[in-house]
Amino acid sequence: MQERPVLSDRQINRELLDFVLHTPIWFWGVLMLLGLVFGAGFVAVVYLIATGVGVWGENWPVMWAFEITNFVFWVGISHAGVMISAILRLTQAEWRRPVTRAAEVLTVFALATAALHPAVHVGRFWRVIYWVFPYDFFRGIWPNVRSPLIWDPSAIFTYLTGSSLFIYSVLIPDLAVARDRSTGWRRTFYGILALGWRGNPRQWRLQTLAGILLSGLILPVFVSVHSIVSFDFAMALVPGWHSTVFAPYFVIGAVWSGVAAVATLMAILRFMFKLHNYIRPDHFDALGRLLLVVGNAWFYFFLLDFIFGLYAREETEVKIWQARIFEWPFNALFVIFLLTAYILPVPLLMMRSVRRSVTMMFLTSVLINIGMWLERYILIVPALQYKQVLQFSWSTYQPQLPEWGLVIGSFGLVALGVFLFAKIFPIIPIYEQKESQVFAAEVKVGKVTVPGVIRE
Amino acid sequence: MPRNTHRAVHHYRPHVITVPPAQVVADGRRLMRPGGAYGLAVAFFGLLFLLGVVGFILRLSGGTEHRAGWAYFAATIAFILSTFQAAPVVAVAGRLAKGHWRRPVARALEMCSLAGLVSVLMVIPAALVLPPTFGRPSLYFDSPLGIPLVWNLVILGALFLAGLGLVFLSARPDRAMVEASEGDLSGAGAWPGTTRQWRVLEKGMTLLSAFYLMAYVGAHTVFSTDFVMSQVPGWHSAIFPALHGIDGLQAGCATAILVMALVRRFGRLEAYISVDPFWGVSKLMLALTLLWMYFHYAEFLTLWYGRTPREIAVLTLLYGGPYLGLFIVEFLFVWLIPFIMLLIFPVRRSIGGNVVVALSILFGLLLDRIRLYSAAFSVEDVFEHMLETVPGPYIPDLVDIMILAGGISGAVLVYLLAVRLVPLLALWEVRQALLLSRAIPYLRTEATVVAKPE
Repeated sequence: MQERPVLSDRQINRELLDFVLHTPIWFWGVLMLLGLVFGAGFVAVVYLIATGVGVWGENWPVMWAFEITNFVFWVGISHAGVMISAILRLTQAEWRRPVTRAAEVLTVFALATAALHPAVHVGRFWRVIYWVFPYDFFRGIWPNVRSPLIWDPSAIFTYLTGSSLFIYSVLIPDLAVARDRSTGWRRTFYGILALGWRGNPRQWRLQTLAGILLSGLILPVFVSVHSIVSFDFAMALVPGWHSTVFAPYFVIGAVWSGVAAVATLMAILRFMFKLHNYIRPDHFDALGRLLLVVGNAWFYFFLLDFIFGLYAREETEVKIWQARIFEWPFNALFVIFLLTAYILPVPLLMMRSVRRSVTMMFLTSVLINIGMWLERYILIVPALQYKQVLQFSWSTYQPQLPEWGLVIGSFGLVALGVFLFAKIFPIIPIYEQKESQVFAAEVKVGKVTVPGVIRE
Repeated sequence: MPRNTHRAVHHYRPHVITVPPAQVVADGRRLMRPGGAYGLAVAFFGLLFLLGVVGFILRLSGGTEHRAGWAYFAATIAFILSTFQAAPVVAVAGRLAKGHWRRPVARALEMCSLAGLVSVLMVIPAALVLPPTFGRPSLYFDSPLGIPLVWNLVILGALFLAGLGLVFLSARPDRAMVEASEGDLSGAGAWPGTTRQWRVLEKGMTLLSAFYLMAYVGAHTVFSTDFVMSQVPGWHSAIFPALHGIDGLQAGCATAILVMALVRRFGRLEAYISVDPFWGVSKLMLALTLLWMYFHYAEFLTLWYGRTPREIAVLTLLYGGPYLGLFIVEFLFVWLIPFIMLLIFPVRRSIGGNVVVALSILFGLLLDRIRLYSAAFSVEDVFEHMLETVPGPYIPDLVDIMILAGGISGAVLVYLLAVRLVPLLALWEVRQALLLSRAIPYLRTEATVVAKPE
């Protein structure tokens, strides 16, 4: 049976705006901690720019390693927001209400962080400008449209623009609430952002319509982004990469890791901001069920990639899979990857008690993302190591300290972004919570009263 | 002119079934005793099925050496797998997602799985036509256990049995209700409806639903690899089994629309089946139509961009030379027409519009299966490293048409015969809907409340 606390509008406003309008002392502690983590990445990038990409462990032919793994990982995480928000909005799933905004915010910060990686990866990021944009029309110098340096920014910036617009359009009613309950510069700030929202029927109609339209429009973009990232690999004739299944395999993997990241974030938000009335075991249960479906679908695509990688029994392809499964250190990583990305989480998610436990869902979702990070690493590095036919050009890869710094720093950047967003804007949609109270109903079945919902 | 036309159009609310519970049982009983048109339909499809059997015997008498002659036979199995056996996925997905709209149509869709009996029987001779898997790429990697007949029989059998289990289990309370209403209490004795029985029924339905989904995916993976991809040298496309299954799901939605429309019309179930399930399935059909394009594009682009000779040969066989015309027509019917029509809101929310889209998709899918299986079965030397010579198009003869029509008719016939054994309406699910959904006054209008017991 669903738990559904009855909350007044006043209580919802007070509880969800508390952290926005007041600054508790622990805010500074958390800010400093996240700043330090982000700082590690910042120092690593500064050191890289000052010294050159030689400080990384990359060595020909392994020229894509930690940074690209991390890039694919964060693009993957960014798929959660729109997937949850747009699809659940279109299907009118009630349980979406407390989850959507955090998921959308995660999308934007994960995507922005991902976009930094290719730029950093080229070592001298200012040069990206003339690799991506046409800068000299008269001499006929054009960017190479067959380069991933064109594909990825095109996809990512379209998605980033769409997602930011999506967040903003559904944030407007809450900005107006914040405007009406604040004073001084905050009132001016929220007032400007609220675009004169008064909550009249026409405004609501337009806002709802915008939400539905943007949900529908952003879905193809969401699918295209990770497909294009997968094409960076699949279009190359590198054995182990040149696979037709990569596009859907990457997308479903992104959704798997992204939805897990949303579950992690929801658990942290619930603990940090005491949102027990809003983020309830019901919501974790629903996220768990969604994860169960997505996880199994992802595993099916993984199996397709594995089986059909070996299917033709081509020597290099077999060698790469052997390296992934049997060679140190990939064998250890492969075992951890399989355990954390599928073997442990899926049976756990099948248990109702696990799905309804916030702690267990937090741990399970963290496991999934450990596994999915490793999945990308195992997919990228061994394939490059053995991509050449002649053995003398084979090479190994050993990550160096600045690369670790970059990876850790990227987690700090995303966490810091979400945390600061939650400080400035309500992280749980206020109007959605009020709407859920209006749509709540009960149905008498014999002697039992069953909770129900008014369907639009 | 009625007032508030604008409101009536734009503020549609979900349909609430308001039939008295006793009437639901009476309607279930009526559906098990179909009238005159039913007999005619059975005779018609029975005759076509017999023609198909004759065609099969004629083809068998010609031997199995000429594999191309068996292309339509395999395409027929693939068509049944992608339509009749895909339609229950819609009901099963609705059940797992706890969608209320599925209730009045769940049984009619789940019964489509019974047509799997035809594909199970047909796969036995079809698998015997396949060349040995030893020495060529296959799912079995030269293993001594690599016998396509066994694995296809196992996976198609599992899919059929899962469907049979779903129908049998969900029909138990209904049969008891119908028999009790006729004064025969023996059925009710077997199903008194204890709390434990209901719990087992609901758990069993959930488990069988999940199993059906898995078996559906497995069946497409094994069947499409064995009967299409592994017969084309140099074709190593990991996406193909998933693509085959996604095409099947799109056609499954189309079959579901068609079955719902026919059951509603000929079963006189207008009071139960509103436009809601059509609307729900059409959204899914639109999503799957987009996925059709996505999966085909992902396969085409990767092979085309790779440009190795073996990839170009495969693309020429499938999309270029011999089957270009067929592919263009198929593309129109399975993608372009449905996509444009489904973008139009009134089409999605109408029964007639959805039926037109469904017919277009089913025709397109039939051409797709013919194209794929004809191309694969036309390859002469399946043991080559790559496709050295692209074979010409396979032109069907009368026997092929007899087999195709007979196989599909056999599937329809099985469905029709099952109608007399099981109510087409899931009576207990509809009666649950009577309890769990209500129309309530809301401000100055009415709203539908759906109870969520879980």
